[in-house]
Amino acid sequence: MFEDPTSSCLRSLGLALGLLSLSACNQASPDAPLGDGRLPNGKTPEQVTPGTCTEGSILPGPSPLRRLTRFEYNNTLRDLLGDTTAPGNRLPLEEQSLGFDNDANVLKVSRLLAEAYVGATQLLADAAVPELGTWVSCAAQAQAPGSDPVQAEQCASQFIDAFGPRAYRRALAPEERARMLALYTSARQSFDFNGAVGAVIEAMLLSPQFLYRLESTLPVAGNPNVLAVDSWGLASRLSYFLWGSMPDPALFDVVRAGQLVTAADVRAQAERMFDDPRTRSVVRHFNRYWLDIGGVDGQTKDAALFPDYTSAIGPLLRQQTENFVEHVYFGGAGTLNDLLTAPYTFMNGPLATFHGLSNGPTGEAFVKVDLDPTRHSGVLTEPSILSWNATADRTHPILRGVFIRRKFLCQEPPPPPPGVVDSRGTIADPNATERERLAIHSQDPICAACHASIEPIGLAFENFDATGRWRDLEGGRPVDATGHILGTDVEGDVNGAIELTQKLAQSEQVRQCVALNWFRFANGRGETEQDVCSTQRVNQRFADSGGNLRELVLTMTQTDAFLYRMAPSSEAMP
Amino acid sequence: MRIHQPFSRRSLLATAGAATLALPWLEALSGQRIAKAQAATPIKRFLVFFWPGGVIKDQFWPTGGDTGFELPYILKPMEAFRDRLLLLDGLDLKPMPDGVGQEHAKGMGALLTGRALGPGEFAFFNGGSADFAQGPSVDHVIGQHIGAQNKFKTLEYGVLWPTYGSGPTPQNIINYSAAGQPAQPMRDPYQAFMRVFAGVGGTASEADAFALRNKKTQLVLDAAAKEFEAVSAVVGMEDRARLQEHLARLQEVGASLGAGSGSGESCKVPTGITSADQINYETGGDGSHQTIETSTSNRMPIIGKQMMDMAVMSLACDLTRVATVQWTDAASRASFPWLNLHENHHFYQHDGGFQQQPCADICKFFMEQLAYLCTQLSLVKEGDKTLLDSTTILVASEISDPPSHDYRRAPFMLVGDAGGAFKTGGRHLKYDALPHNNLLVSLMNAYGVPGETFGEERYCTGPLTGLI
Repeated sequence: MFEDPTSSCLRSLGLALGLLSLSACNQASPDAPLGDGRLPNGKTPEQVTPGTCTEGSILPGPSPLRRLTRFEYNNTLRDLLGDTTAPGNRLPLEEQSLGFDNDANVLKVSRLLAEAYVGATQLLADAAVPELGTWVSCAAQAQAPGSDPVQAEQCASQFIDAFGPRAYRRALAPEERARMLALYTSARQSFDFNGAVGAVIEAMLLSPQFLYRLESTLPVAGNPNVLAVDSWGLASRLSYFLWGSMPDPALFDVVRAGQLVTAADVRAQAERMFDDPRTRSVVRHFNRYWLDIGGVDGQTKDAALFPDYTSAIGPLLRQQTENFVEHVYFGGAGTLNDLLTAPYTFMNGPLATFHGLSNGPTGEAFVKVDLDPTRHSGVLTEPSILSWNATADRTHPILRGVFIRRKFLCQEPPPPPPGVVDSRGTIADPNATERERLAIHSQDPICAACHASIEPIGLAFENFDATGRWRDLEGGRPVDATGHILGTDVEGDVNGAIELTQKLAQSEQVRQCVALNWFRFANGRGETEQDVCSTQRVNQRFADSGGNLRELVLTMTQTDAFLYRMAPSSEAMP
Repeated sequence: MRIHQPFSRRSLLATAGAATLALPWLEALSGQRIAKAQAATPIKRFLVFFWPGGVIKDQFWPTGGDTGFELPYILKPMEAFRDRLLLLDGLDLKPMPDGVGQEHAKGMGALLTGRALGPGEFAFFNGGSADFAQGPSVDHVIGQHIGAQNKFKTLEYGVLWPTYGSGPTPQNIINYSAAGQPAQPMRDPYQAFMRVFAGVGGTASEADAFALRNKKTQLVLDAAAKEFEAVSAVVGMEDRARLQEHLARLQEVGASLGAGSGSGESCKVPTGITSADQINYETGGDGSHQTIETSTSNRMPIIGKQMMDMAVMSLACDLTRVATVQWTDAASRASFPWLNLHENHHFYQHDGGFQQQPCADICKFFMEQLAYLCTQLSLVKEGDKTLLDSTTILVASEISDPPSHDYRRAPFMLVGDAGGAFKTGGRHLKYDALPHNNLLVSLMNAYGVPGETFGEERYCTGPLTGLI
């Protein structure tokens, strides 16, 4: 009834923009509904044609309207108002697609969010109003009881001129200025100077010019289908990409001096900004979402098996990984190879105890710790990832395999077919290993079609238990960590995580997948067929630089997607 | 002492390090009676009570006759309310097989919308992806109809939501305000409290200050609306649509400013509401249970109690007439340490191999919570009746059978007859594989919304028989 599902899987795999689909797995489950195994952007592989990037063509792809995320909201209000209360943390969570919190196509504004914005701006304005003197020197006089209303209004006007351009990240149009002054006047009828200026602050922080990254454009000579993003827009694109926040005064100065116009200008600023500490928080943020370790903080483990896994451990495991990736990007040779194979990590005292390190660090601060290179190899052996992709007491080779397929190979396995009853627990022998419990997936042809791509990757990590720590034995028997990578450019057998991660480090598909994730994060959307020029440029540069991660990030700012927008008449294209 | 206006929120919220937030003014307000509302037509309320993962059918559906049956293990906690039960046995979530993505998500998407999930970008932990449901949920449709004069048309209270550490996805959302517009539940009790009960009760001067604050908010919202209109005029079509949606939500907030802030003879501002991260994860915060492990899941009973207390009072104060209490989410990663269940819920459903008794115990725990909710509703007096008398609770889960995710014979139950809109009386109605869309139609009709279909028409075969 079925073709040999394994070979069906193999035949279906082909490179297309670095994206692969395992949709052929569905040949084993003909009742699977349409759409299973589709690519993350909802298209089937046949719909995503590589396209051609010809010399001189500019293909920016879509530029959906980008709303500030909670992360960006926090940072922007910190930089705009000096607010450190992290008001974004109290906003509703973002809809997440493709793994990141900033996919503009899926962010919605619910009633809950609208109310939360209103509440947040009230607190922010309340805190800002006593500090008006830092914006305008007339504040003290205008705030004094019995102050002259005409002078107070002039002071409000000066405040709008000082605050507005920073809040809107560009010069105010005369009409915008006039509307805010009208609000002040209207509010002044019922409120004092502070109250009325507070109303202006609230209104500006609720306005689209603050909450969304609106851009003006310039025509491009000889190319009516595209527009160049203007300097103010480029400044915001740079600062939100590299810092998750509004431009700093230096960047605004560069715009005003007319020195943020060309791609080379953008690159020069990007290089300056990359070395700023704020970039580190963005790199951490990117990795938190790419590696899906945000939920690690609250995970539980079986207290009988792992009595030392307390609620304090989860956050520490996440921080361990965040420190590791930050060091890879900023502290060393900074390559993808490092990320995937470096035999070190970061721990503090409690983690050293948890990991059983003798002569490890003490105290609360995280320090670099060299690890046994026969056991540990880069980010995929980080306990945060391995424990999150596990249950309370057991490893979970399926979750681990799906994670690597999705996050490092950009391949989207379809869901299990309907009606499947997972039989992992029906093995009568309580001493069965996890591999044995999963054996039916390789024996039953209906399961094997897809699972041949999944478990053999996850099983290579069987030396790492449910808490992500090393184990030589499982149920008294030596761990079998043999595995296999199916259907990639580094296909083959592996024995253990070291061999698997070293293979992945040599894979061009992995390199392109890492680049693709940065592309999605940088542009706040999934890739489309039109992004062929951007992705080719990035992939080329990343490869030529030997997988240099800094180069990857900086090259994002040099793509058509970053520097241009489609002209409105072209926007109707799919 | 500052009063409970938004002004004071900052000082309250900034004290994140405080143990239980000491709020003297709230203590003073508890027990304060609000002026009795002028009774016109009897108010009907609609509640949704959701728990994930289905039931063990042999321990949920009674055997024997259609009435006078013994409540099985899972439903035993509801003994005190058996006369208000209407068990709906034999309803299928027909959209599920037609949906895209994994089973849990399909169930979640279909449950209150009656629609199949379509293709989309939201990837699931175990493969596949889908989009949000493309239609409103029945609670939102009802709320739009009966909640016009309330501050909130609906309220969604989440307990340990989300369990995957990410935002709304088709796997963790049951409420939708419109096609593709998830209405995510409130996830922190204290923030829920500050949102829902702002301006409720209080002295005359507090009420004046609150009104003044609302006056400013109205000016602010009007000004922001002008900015939205100005910007909308110069951006492209797609961007304009987004901005207009955003503006519509802001305008809803503006419209709600004039709604009454709490009325009802039994309206009492809930006390002791805390932020989730203030709740002790070793013992559940009130020493109510001891476990052998520390786990943030330990917070579940306390968060649940606080959210249910607020749901009850938001109805009693007529801040809304439609509310949802959503316990965790589908394929939940929450565990139940106080039940000595240290793996996560999904593990017992099938991820670690199906284990029947843990699943049954988890379902029974949720039914105990439902009983608490019913008790609290029954303690709210309204004339010579109680709040429970005017309420119907739709009790539901996104699948029927934990290990197989079967969509057939989903565990639907109604508790309470909303002032006679249904004929409850402890009946076990048996249907022959009817679409649950029919139930959604009947619910909608019971609250005065006309129509013969709900969700996708192809699944509907008319209102559900036997309910009245």
